[in-house]
Amino acid sequence: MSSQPLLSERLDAFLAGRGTTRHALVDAIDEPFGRPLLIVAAGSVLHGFGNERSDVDIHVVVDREVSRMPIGSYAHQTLIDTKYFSAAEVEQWVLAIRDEPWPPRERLDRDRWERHQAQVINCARFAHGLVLGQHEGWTTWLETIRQPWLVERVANWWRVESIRRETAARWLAESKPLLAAVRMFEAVLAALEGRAAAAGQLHYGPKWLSEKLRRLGDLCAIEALGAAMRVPASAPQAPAYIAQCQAGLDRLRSRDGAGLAAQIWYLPGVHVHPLDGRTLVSRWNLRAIETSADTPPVRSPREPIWQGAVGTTPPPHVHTLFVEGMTWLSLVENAA
Amino acid sequence: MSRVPDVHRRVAFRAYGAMRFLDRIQGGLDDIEGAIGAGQYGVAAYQARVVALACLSIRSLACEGDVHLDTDSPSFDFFAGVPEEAIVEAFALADAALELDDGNAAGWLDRFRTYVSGTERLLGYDRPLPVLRSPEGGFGLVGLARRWTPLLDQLGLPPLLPDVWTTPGGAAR
Repeated sequence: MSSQPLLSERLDAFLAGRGTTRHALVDAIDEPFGRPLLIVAAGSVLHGFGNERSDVDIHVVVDREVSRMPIGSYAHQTLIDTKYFSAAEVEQWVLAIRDEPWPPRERLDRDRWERHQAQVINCARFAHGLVLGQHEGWTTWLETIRQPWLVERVANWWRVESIRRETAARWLAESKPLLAAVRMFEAVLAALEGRAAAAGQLHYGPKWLSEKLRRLGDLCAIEALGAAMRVPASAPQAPAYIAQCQAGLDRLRSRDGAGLAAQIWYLPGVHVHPLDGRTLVSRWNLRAIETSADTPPVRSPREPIWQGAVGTTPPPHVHTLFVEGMTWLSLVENAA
Repeated sequence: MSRVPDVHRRVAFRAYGAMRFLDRIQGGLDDIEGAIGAGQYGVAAYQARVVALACLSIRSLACEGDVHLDTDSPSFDFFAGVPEEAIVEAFALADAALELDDGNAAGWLDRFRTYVSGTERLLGYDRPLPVLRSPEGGFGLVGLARRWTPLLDQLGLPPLLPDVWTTPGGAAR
């Protein structure tokens, strides 16, 4: 983790290049949700990857519920991307990320997956950001999230994500080989993100992956990234590319999918209509497929329509729903 | 005058396509320009792939694609209904980004900007879309949402802006 003085030096140099200062930056932060309890600067500039188009990410904790509209403000020719968080929300992160297993054993719907992803991303940003202001009482919380457990949790997030994308690629390979190739590309990126995170590069997102690997001097990972970037443009080229990515994953990832189960859910907007011995499955009334009569209905509350060990393939009627983009895929701990 | 055989599809293409352009493509192109300026060619190459896929997904939205660019859902299909030649064109530009250096980056960037502009023109707006990463960008985004929301509601299509952006507490749920 970069020290606060180093982060401070990078931010100050970036702002000085635009004729402004950290104090002016803090003064420019809007307070639509009340007085800030904690202000942290994060993003590529602080991690030493910034360039002339970089914005400054500011995270602000307040004592009320907030929305997360990504609208920036401008000060001194600098885009300031301010995100607000409620104190109750961030105080849950330690419990959710450090103390609860990932993936969970029980049901994991899309909302819960998204919530956990956002928790991991934002917790890492707070932990590795520069504190610009804080009320009394936040020091302990910051010290807690800066402990080594966060590195392990972020790396594990990427490991599971890599397996999820790889699982999807396998299911798509026959019917949609080009899309399967993109999923394998994503699986390799996730594996490399996990490797970079384990080495302390927690800054989230594959955009900066090449810079992170270069900083780490991880030649094996740089080579794997270079090979994976050549995603094929036509179906006949896809099988060889997928096999090459698979070999790369086997070298990169510390653990395979043993002990994990795949869970399939209908996506939002999907409706299932019995249709004279067949079934019409539609999404947002915009597109539809006609499937067999054994297609499961949409239940309320939602529940998974299938679960099976990673490495298995869903039965044909569920597999079709996945290939046709009607379902969400989660991975959970296999309780069996 | 042009006939619209599928009003749901046409409205989805123009509304969500514009949103996708603002949210994913403009920022991606900005990132590419910044990365090239700093000699971060690996970053530029990655973002070129991301923007190329987003441009293809806009073409897909015109025929078979889904309303939201849902890159977290492993079943989301960037290519649904897109002709192979369009995929080859976009990926050729993304592949060329893998060979960027100080000597060829400017020429490649011109070609890539032309491709992105062509994608924007497909959406059929009579003026350039607002730039989200600009001092006026937030107003442009809200204006776009206001313009389309009544029609989207009438057709039973989902909101243009995600719940997490608009609902207090939505981010924490």
